[in-house]
Amino acid sequence: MSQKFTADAVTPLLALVGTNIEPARAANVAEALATQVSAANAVYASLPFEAEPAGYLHACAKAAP
Amino acid sequence: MTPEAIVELSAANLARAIRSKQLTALAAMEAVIARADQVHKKLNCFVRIDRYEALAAAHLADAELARGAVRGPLHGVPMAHKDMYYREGAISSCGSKIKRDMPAPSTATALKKLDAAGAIQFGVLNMAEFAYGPTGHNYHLGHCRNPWNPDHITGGSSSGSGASVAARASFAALGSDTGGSIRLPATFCGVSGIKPTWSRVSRHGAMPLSFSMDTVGPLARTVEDCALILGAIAGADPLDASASQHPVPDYMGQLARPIRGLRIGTPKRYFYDNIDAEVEGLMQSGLEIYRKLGAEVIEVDLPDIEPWNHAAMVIIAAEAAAAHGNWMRTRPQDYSDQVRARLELGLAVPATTYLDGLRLRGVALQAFSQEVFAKVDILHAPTVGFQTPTIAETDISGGEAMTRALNSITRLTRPGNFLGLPCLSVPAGFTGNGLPTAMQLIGRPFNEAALFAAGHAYQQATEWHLQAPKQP
Repeated sequence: MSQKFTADAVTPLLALVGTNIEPARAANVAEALATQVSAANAVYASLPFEAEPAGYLHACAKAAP
Repeated sequence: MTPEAIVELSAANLARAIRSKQLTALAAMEAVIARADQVHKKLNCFVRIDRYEALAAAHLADAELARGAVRGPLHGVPMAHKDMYYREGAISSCGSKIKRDMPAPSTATALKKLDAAGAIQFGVLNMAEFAYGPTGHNYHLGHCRNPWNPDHITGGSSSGSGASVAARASFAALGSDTGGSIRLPATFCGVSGIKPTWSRVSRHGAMPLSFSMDTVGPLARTVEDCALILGAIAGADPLDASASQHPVPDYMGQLARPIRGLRIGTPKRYFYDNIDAEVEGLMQSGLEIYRKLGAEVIEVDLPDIEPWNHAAMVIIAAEAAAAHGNWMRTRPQDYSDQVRARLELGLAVPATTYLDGLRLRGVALQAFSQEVFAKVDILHAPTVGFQTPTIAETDISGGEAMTRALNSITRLTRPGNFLGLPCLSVPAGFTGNGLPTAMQLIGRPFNEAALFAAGHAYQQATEWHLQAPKQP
């Protein structure tokens, strides 16, 4: 389920990384961000503590013919 | 041979004809440039045609051949490429306003390898702005149009690659695939395309979008052409630390290996959810061909893939935003609305959400391999689950509606990028709207050879890949 996230939160967040954003664009970002990040975080519930980013490369090498 | 007959040749057959002196490289170059001039007016598929340099290079290739020198397996074959492969000193606009005046600092390794193989680049091709769009829309260069029906999308981001190869205006073209950008235009335009295993081809000198997802590969008339070109560009590169050291097999040598007994998986879920009935029918026909060829078709249960797409979207958004951070701070007005909106989203992705996405990839690949590759050699699936839409229908801007629409277009291609697996898109017929569709064959990491053999066998038994759009 999507978490509540507002344009008011997006504006200072992007200002922190040096990007100005108009209110209408910030509202769009908030809407898309809430959906995407919530959906991704829901997937991570089953992620093992030991999993590492480079684990993908190991898995790739193991699965190669 | 007439110019019309020349441009119908596959890259492999053209290379053979040039090597055996049935045809000159100059005649091939003149024929393809004439066709490119003709179709570009309707399809907007080229950014630039470097005709004088290309004709001179073709003349030189013929002179070399006359004295017995063959550069490589693509000697004299004209190719144009997506406008994101850098050639030192030349402009690569990357489909953008921002880079349209910036000369490239060095030449892409993929281009150097194609040069060494004897191919001659004669132009650069339209593409989605910064390769960040799956439809073929471009608000700076103009939308690229589908040669089967110019009201419809080409697919993106390698829009000009798909359109020019289908329209016989290039014998083959490099594309790039981060979420489906080779396979989507290959599907919508009716050509073959290989997204190789991540790291199979050096990305040095190729515009970055999402470094952990980006792959370099060709779109071409046939699977044989894809094998020939991938063989020329794959391999380790001292200029790209991420390029794999895994040996490059002889793809052409393995192309004709028998597929009798090959285990082809067909997924029970995900890839056929809400699929268009005509596309599904064509997929079943494709599987029937494989049964007749002696392959064993086996239903396989997949892990729950849907959630992985959310992680993939987050990873691409964050990596693209990082790459574009400086321009987002200084020139945000120079991006189109949709690309800017996607980059703004990426700037706001929490670091832990991004890193968890990367952590998930190894776990996901292991789960996928256990469910799929323990039981079958390759997975057969549709590349897209819907009929090719029009340019107007897919003209979308920012917001959650944009995210939903983009997710839906790339739903069946994105898992291949998330998992890093090789995926070969092969034309599989036409839907009622007269436009092509395709199947994708998905293989184990670094086993492109198995995909080429299966795709080639299918093309020996069918004629979908030989169909050409009427010339505009």
